[in-house]
Amino acid sequence: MTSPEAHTLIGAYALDALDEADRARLESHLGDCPGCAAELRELRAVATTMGGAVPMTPPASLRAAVLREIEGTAQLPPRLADRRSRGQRRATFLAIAAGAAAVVAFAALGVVGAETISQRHQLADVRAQAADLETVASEVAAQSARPMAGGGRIAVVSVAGRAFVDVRELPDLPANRVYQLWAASPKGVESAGIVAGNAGRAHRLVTLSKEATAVKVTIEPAGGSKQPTSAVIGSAPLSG
Amino acid sequence: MEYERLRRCLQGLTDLQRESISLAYYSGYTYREVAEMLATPVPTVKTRMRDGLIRLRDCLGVGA
Ligand SMILES: [Zn+2]
Repeated sequence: MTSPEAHTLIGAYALDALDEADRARLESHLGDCPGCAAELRELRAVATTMGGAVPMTPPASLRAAVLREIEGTAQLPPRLADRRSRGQRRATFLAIAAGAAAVVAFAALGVVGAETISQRHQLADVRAQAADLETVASEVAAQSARPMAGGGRIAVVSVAGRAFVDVRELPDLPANRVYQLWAASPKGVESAGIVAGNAGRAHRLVTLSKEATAVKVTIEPAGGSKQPTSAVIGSAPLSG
Repeated sequence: MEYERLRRCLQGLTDLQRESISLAYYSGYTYREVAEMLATPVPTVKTRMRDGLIRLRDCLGVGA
């Protein structure tokens, strides 16, 4: 790859948005281009700030929007909620909000993916909402995050055969290693995606088989493995 | 407070910059997938991710 082409990939690389082939080409270029390496460090710092700035509490307006979605999509009868104690209601809210936020985010993103350019302007609101709800889903996931061996945390919110997987505070790995996610079921494990060894944090939307019971994490050689080749360092059960 | 600042800085981007960065970073899509979703040429999306991040860097004052 020539230098000008490599330069244009740095933003996508900093966002962890390259596929494996592009990533390998850019990484080989970084070794002998101090300019690109320096720019990458700066843009990585921006991406890190974006991850660290997720709000601890979703804004009230968003919570209201999620609640409306719960009424519409989860069909929890209001009277059932009324009969419960306040503490139970709160626990129920958190559990359902996690599901509803994920459902809404997935649905909105599904719409985005299916639309054509002629309808683009009508989608601006949907996209803005999707980005916010992803943030909410991520935050709800973070509240149930589990520590991983050697550092980092994993959280999973699963809904209707899809899971929102959030891994964060990941220690940097050697250049030839990546984190790999696995969907585990009684039948075995299946790869659920790769996270760059220096990503620090990542979200993935994963489609699950009906039998899947947990999402697990291992450290694998760059490019990932067909089956885990090292010990599981993290595991989160699926909320069903 | 950090969140408000990020929000403000994100609003300072063009729609295409903001959408490209959000779909990649918060939703985990590759730039090729983002290009398809936004019905925008791949080289344009690559470029918007980069110049959007540079604009965010200047707005947030990180990276030095
Ligand atoms: Zn270069």
